[in-house]
Amino acid sequence: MFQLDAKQLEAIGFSYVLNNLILHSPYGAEKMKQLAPIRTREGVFVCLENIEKMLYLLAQRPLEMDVIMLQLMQLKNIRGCVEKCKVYTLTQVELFEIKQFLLAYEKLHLALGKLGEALTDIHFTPMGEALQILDADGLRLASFALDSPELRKIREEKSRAEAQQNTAARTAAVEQEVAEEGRILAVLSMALRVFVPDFLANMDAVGKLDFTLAKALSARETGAVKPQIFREGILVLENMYNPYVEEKIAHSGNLMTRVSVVFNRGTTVITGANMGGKSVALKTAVLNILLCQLGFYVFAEKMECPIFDDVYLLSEDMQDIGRGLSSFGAEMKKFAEISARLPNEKLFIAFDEFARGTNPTEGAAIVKAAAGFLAKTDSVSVITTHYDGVCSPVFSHYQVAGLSTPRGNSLCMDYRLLSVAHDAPPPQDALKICKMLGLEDVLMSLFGET
Amino acid sequence: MVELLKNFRTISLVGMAKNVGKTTVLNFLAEAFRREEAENFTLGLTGIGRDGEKTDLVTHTNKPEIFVTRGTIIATAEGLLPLCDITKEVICVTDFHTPLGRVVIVRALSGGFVQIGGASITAQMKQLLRLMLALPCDKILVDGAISRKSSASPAVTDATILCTGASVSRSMQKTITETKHAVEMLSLPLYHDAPDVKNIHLLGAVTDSHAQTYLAAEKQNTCLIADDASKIFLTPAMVEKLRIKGISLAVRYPVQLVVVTVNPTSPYHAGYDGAEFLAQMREAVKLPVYDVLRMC
Repeated sequence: MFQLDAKQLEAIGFSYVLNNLILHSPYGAEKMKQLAPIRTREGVFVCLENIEKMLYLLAQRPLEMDVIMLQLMQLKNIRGCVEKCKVYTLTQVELFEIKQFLLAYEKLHLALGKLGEALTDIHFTPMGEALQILDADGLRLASFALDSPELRKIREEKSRAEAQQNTAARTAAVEQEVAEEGRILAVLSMALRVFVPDFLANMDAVGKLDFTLAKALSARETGAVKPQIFREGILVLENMYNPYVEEKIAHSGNLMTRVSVVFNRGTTVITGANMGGKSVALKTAVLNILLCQLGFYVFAEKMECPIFDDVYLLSEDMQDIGRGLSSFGAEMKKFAEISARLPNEKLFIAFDEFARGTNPTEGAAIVKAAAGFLAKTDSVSVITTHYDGVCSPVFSHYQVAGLSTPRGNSLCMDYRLLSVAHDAPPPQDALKICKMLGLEDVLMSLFGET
Repeated sequence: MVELLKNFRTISLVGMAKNVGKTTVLNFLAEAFRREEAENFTLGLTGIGRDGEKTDLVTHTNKPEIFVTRGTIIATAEGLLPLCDITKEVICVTDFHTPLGRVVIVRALSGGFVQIGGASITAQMKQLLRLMLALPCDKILVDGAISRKSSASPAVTDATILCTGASVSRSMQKTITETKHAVEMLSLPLYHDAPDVKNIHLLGAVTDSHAQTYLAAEKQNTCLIADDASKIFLTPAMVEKLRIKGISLAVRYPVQLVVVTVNPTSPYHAGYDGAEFLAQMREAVKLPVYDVLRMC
């Protein structure tokens, strides 16, 4: 997804979000698998508006929505049958499955009609004619048998032979029955063939409906909000949070500090103490950008987000690192790739502790040079680092609020990000953090001397 | 025999070997239930693994086919449907997959011969039976493949019939000994917690070599507990050793074995004397025993 690999998607909490989506039909699951970044403002708009409508419906018309969810759950995946129907004759079991789909679809279509609220770009066409083919008597029974005047005659013959225990006559009747059934199967399949495009279009629409519903349910569950999409190169995240991290720390009874940031076109540097939450903040920002551009609600009180051509995250979670490249090598390879794209595209690039793998003198120089280079582009770049002297007046600069003693003497980490001047003194919290982590006094005095 | 099975809704049949007359028993019961029960009685039929072939796929011997009457509900693999010559009404397509396709539930709109191959996983068989009872089926017969060679356990049914016969062995004595052992294993009790007994729960198959380690290590008053009888592959000799050592066997899901049927004929050899075989089998197992050739 974008330029993040599976391991990174896991690390930022994106996989967690997808895994927690509640899909009601196999078609929604298909849509989730096909999930791809939306590169246009309008495309994202449509998705977000549909979620808004869905949330409204969930709140205002809960009973009708329950019916819709119930009918979605009745739909089985008949894509294989429909594809086969294009060319081949279907079996009785396959026709049964198509009939079942049509029965559930009819109810779903009816329930959607009652809502009176249409979702943008999701259109359902009635399939009554197709159902008529498989339910000629209109009884809407959930079972399916083959029938024709000819078959009835043959079957009478079959049961007569059975009653008389006339094996030869029975065998002949069974053969006739099989042949006639084959003929009817071919007739029905042929009749359904013209509806194949309708089937495919409706299955697609059901998938979109189901996936939008899943996004809305997730937003309702997590309190996610609709992001604002602007063209300008400015990214605003107010009180963002990450449900993946929240769940992980909830076990130890902790709450995640909600962090606010504004990233402008050019470079932003985030500095701060170890364990100050720089990485978490950066990953949460990346998560929200991804979600926004996939047409999801986002985890923040407010978000303004431009449309990026692509998103990069350079972090220690990169898969390349496990594949023999050193972390420094992997980063530089990625950086070369990015710099080739920078002149023509608007990217969001997040560097988590860039160049951390090399010596501090050179590392700091590299970070400073890269930051300066990125500041002159149209892309938005964010670099977290604990190297000193990286900042310059041309970058924005955030610092983790750091250690404080709000209650008595116990040290406490304040994870908020504060916008500071470029020459703000770097935090010197490492020793205090060691103490907070409960290192022995002996060790502490040892560290203190050096 | 029908009387013995009256109060059970789901009944499985397991065979000691091929050609022991399992299908004959199945046909007999299907017919008997239909005669005994009320007018609108619905019989369900499914199987573990595949059965009902005209010629046995494994041994190429002539086999009686399963014949069902109009109205019977059959759960079988999708791939076997073309081999069923009943007129079919499809009622349900399940998500249970078998090598021959998904398990499909059909109603027989005419009498005819059927091929049965149902779910082969215990959990799925449980669900399938629940689904069929809800249709509703008044009684369900489950064709249980060959004894203890299937991953689905007869413990999912209310009652079990063990079918044995001359095709197990040329020697009648051997057949009786093996049947007796199978009956013992299928009759293992539900385990219980007692203060002076050390319970050891075993996962998966319980084999001789498995038991050997416990035989060496454990003392008296130990109880080895398997999931169910279909997971136990112990030889009679090992069971005897365990008993001498004071190690007992139990299961988590007991099988309700109610009847043993015997078939004195075999396609492989001359067969046994029917009366003697029946008498000796009755002597050996403490259960009602019936001869498949003289059931009615």
